[in-house]
Amino acid sequence: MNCGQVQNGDIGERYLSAKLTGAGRKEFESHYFECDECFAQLEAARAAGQVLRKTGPVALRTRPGWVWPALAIAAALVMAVAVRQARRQGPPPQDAAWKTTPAATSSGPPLLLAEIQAPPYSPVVLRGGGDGAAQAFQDAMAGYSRSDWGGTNAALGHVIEKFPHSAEAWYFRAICQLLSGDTAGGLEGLSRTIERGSATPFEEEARYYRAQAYLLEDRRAEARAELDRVIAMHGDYAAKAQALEKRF
Amino acid sequence: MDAPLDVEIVERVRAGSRDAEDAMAARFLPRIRAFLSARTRRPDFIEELTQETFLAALRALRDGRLRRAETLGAFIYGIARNQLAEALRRLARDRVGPMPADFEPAGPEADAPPEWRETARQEMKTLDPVDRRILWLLLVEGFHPDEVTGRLGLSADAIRQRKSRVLRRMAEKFGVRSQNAVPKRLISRSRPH
Repeated sequence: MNCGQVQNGDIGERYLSAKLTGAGRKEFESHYFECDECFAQLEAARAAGQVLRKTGPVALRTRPGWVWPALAIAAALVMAVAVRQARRQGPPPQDAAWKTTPAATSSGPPLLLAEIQAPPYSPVVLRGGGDGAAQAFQDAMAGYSRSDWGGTNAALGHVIEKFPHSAEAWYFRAICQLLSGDTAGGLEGLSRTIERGSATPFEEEARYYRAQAYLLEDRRAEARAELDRVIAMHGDYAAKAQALEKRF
Repeated sequence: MDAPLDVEIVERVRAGSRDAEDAMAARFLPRIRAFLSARTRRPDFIEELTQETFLAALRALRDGRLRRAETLGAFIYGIARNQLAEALRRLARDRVGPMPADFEPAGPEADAPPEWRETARQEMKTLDPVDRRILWLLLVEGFHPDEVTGRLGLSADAIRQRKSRVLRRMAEKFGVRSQNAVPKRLISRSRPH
């Protein structure tokens, strides 16, 4: 094996994902024990994969440290001016402006990613080892309790490849995508779960989380419609949906 | 491949140089660890066997058992394979039941060295969003470039090139760090500026 074959054959990625076996694996190992460049690229891929699994596919925009204190001061000033104006004008009129809802006056998405709580998951004891799909799903969920959304997302992706009818894999993968910042991927997975209707035990919670995904994207009307459906289902998530609807 | 450095390492290890042993460790411990990480998910087993392999290689060099110094990498790889086979035989002898399931390939769960993860973290912060998406799909989701051409609107070759460019850039930074770990006296002797 030479460097060109490693590059063109995606050998490093196949090695890291354990898809390279037998003679191919041995040839690659033999090569990287002697080749500095290929070994460094292998470790670069390993490190990049690990970092991405923690941070998700989308770069999070971070604000510089001075922004939050500055915003706090600005908010305080706005509040002070508003109170002063209100005192000058006397009691508010009975109509319009003072009756506007928080949604009409607020700006930006009404929900932040950090506010979304992961649905609980407890592994069940599989009698007799369970079937292949159940066991694969349980193995893939190993990182979920550690909040390893990226790693669990990838592991569940492999489960779905092998067992495309695994409803729980689709649902929890969508949750992981959502929590790792991939809102579009999360919405797609939740929609697939919902499309199965009563064939899946996750319809109600999938709708609740889809509403939250809509809120992340500031799609309030769709979020409200989704929450109304959850409330109408009178299930475990009805109270949460009502509480969330009151927020925007 | 850096055969001159390997040759010098071998000669100086034979002469009893501690610097040369450090240089050998900096060069080959990560490789031994990577090889073992592809076989098991047990960090304690990996670490123990990495050290055992390295010491076995060191003893073999001191005893003059490597005839062609430029094949040091292949020599250490052979020792690593033998050490692993022997360790698995020991485990099988000591166990009544079957081999533990976590002796299956560890794949992406194996840890990269912390300083390399830090370099990767820095690199990810400034990465072009498309490149980041490519790395995500190939390294985390496990797709082949041919499978994501439609999703990215790029040809498989273009995807491969962009991925390689990012990894090469990171590898160069790793290279600088690795060189820093090798005693300067050895580098300056083996690599003319």
